Amino acid sequence: MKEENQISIIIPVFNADETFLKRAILSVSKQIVTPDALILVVKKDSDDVKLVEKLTKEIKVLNYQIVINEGNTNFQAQLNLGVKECKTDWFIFLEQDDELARIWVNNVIDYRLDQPNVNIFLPMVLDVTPADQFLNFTNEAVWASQFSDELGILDNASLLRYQNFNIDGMAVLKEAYEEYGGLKESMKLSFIYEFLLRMTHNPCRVMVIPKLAYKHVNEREGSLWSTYKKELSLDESRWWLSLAKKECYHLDDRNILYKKKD
Amino acid sequence: MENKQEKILEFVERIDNNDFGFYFFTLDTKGNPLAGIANIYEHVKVLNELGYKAYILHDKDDYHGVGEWLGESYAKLPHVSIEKKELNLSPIDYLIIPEIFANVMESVKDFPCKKIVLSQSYNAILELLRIGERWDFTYGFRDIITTSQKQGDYIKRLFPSVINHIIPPSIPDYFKPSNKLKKPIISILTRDQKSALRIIKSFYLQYPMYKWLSFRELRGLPRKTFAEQLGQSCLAVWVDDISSFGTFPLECIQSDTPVVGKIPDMVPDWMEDEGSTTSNIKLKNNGIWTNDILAVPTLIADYMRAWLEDSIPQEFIDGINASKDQFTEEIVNEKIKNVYGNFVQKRKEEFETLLKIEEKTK
Repeated sequence: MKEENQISIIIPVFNADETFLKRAILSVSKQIVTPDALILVVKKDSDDVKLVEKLTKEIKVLNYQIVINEGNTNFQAQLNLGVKECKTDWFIFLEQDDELARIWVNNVIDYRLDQPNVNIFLPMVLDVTPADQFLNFTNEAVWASQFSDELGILDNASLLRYQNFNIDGMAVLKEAYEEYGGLKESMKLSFIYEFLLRMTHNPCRVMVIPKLAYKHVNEREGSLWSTYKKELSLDESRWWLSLAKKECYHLDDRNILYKKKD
Repeated sequence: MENKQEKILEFVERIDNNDFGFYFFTLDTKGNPLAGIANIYEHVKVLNELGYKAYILHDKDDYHGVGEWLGESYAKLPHVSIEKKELNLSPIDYLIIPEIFANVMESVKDFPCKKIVLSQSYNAILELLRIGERWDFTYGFRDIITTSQKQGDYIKRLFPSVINHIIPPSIPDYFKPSNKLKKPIISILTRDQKSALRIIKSFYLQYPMYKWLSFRELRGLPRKTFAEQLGQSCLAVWVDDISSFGTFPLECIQSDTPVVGKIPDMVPDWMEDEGSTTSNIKLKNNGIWTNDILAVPTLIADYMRAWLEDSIPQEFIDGINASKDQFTEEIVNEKIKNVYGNFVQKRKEEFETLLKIEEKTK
């Protein structure tokens, strides 16, 4: 284990599918550099509690911590609670249905040493269809010439032009996450976009590590994004995106709610 | 007779005191970087450091120099202009002419000095050489300095009486990995610019998912900037069919930047594996080599996928590492010292023999 690790992995768990969650936890346990802790955030008295207890024992994960959530259990709230309970300087966030590449923690540590001024490292993601067909890369755009002011660095101006970034697998300096407000629990759909806009608006340096952190199955049935796709109208989706560009200037969650047009 | 003996004695003394010159005839590149010219300057620099008098010999007074791309320490080396009539060669001096200038060899064939060809590019040997004329018998150039055994063998086939001396170019120590992690940038160097454009366009058309990858053409960059950019890149591409020594892939190897390369017509010595023959060439696993220029975009895409996934085979990395440090400045400077030192020693012996003959005659 590298001395500079100081890194935890947080998995917010909600109505988890056992097969996917097992894969996610296994991917943590197989890292070539072991993280200091695995934090699993679960809703109190839910089936998820039993499931994570079973899986952590089955997989024999060392240094895991199950955080019971008694409050808001949406995705953002789950992650925020995990961060609050995290005892290391850095954390990696992993969705319950994704698997990290074995070398990801090692890559984060290497890039942290290489780029000491960076506060958030985003991964590159390989998007595939449910049938495992290659779709595209995500987060790769910052490495395109002239996309942003500095190759590999995501800045606010670029984000205002282009919003398709994924934070799953990101490594974040806990101090920066808490100082600039974390994920806003009241926002739907565009909470990742708003988070990145807010971070880059504030003096927070965001870099995309040019390495694949995981393979992401797009639009998997039951995922958060497929739920949004079903639940939100086009108007509402647009409204959330537009709201992100306004709310990013506020560190606090102002609890603005969508009102359907008459 | 007395005078002749005295003159010979004076020559021997002057050789002992390093009071003679190595004059390297050099093309004016008008500020454009050229690896062959850089190598000539390296010889001049090292010889001066060894205590010899070595000069860059140029044709015209308005010689542009190399300061912009090779650096001030090279630009400040002693220069001699032919146009200014600064050149005054004696029998103990050495005139070194690049292989392309058969016309210059012809015009200096009656000069009393020692004449040497510096042949770095086998492809240029016949460029200006008239049919029926030869370096050795026609122009009196019997000693050839070349950069590899393969080139030496080729020269020997053309001019069987010549003596080859091999001094490979050195890879300066500023060719090294960047102290930062590699970036998804592909450095590209091709003999002509059109080849580079063809590869880049073809890559983007065949692999649009990699349209975010940047190519960086290294052509024309000052040497140190060139090295810096190469050190940052995660991959390099090299296409140069008429390359003689294959300096660029070696610079890549020193920079920890793997190369996708089109195998040149003359396979460089360092690229060949043991047991290789003319009819069955075996290549070392120190680069991604292909004979098919059309396969280059696919090889780039395959490598980039492996790089993004951190799945580069260890044996490939080991192959690259095994080819490192073969041509360091230290190794090559020693060769320069030996080859030129032997010329001087041999020349001295020739004069001493002459002296003995004179004494016997007397």
